[in-house]
Amino acid sequence: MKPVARTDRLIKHVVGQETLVYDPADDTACCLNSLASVVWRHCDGRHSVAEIAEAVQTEMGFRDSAEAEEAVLRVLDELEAHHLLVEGTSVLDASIGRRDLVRALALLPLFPAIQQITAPSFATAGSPAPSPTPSTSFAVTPSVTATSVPGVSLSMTPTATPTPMFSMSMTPTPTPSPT
Amino acid sequence: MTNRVFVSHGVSIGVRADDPELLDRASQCFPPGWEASASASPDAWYSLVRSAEADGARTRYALFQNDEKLDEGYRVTRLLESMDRAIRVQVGRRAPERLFVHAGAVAWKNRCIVLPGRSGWGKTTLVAALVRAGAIYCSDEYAVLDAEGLVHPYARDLSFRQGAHRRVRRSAADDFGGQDATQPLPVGLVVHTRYIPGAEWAPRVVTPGESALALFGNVLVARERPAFAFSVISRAVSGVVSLQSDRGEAAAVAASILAYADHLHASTRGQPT
Repeated sequence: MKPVARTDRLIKHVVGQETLVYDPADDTACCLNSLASVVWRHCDGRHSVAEIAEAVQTEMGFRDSAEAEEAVLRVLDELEAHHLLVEGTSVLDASIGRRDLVRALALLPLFPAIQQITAPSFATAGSPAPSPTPSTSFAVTPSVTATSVPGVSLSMTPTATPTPMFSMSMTPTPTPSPT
Repeated sequence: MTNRVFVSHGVSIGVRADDPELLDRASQCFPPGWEASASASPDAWYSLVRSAEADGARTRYALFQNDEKLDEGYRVTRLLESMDRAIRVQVGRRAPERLFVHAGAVAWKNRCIVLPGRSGWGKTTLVAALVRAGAIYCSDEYAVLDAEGLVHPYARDLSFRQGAHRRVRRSAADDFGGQDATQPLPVGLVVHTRYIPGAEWAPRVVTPGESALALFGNVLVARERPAFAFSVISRAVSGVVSLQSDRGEAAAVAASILAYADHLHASTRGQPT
């Protein structure tokens, strides 16, 4: 099966190497990181997972094809979870048994590859927020480039949970379990 | 009824009241930068109507948006607050060439520092601390962006919420030695932060896409004009550093933010153009 990206009614916008996607069907907005953007761009029904992995390896600088393929499979997991693939074009069943825990761990800084929020309505955009909840830190993906700056840290270590730095409710991105 | 019509960010608003004194009080609710208009058919009408109780002892007020009753009661001050809020949302919602993002904003070294976040996240306190530290006041409520991503001043009095009932106390920037911005400026830094008692300020750089998504989550017309919002926000954050961290007390954080903005400013000046 060759995955196909959903395009119906979605509003897309490229920001540097990332992609913003708005789905009016459920008023959710997503940010695909650079890896997910490359994968999603190649989900055209003509490229197999191996071919997408080849593109990822070239564009993202992965050292070997197996690692790139693992990354693609994990991104496809997330794309499907966020309804960004045409139904019936999933490759998840085919991927079972091909996952590698060691490679998955090495790829952790790139994941979650997709963040999602629910777009605010008029009623909530300017309304008081609920009581502050304990916060978590925010993982910076390797796609970030910044110089060392006094007082500002650049963490390349992923945190266990994505940070709800957004003002609206954030749908947690499911973390696929390596098999 | 007497009335006045004004234009704000391309949106015409008419305000009507039963008497000139009430209209004068209502005029205090006009948004920053409003200009008088002679339009007879504004985009929306707000009407303050009063009616005596049957025994004539008390005066009751009602607030209408066009034909729809928005609020009513005996305290005209409360109705004026309702009108103030409704007008601000109306302008932000209808502004044809502006994107209203719920955010504080200050100017520093000819760049704008944008602090997105919802009410209750401590924007006003941090904006005030930045102004006390020397920044120029742009807004404590909306970063008003144009299609090029420039931030336009929206310098109404700062609204400090206090106490269990979160009553609002308003102060102008010059009350604590600041001044209001007068010109649109490009974004120089975006800081995603909120006040958490005791939190440590540990800022991290986030990607432009992550920053844009977080900004999108504070756009007034996110659902109505998502393509426009994406376009404007993307321009605003393009080439701009965005930070994220919870924060504790505002004064030290303000100093850190301005020091970092200085560092960015110096780095930019050192780069070939």
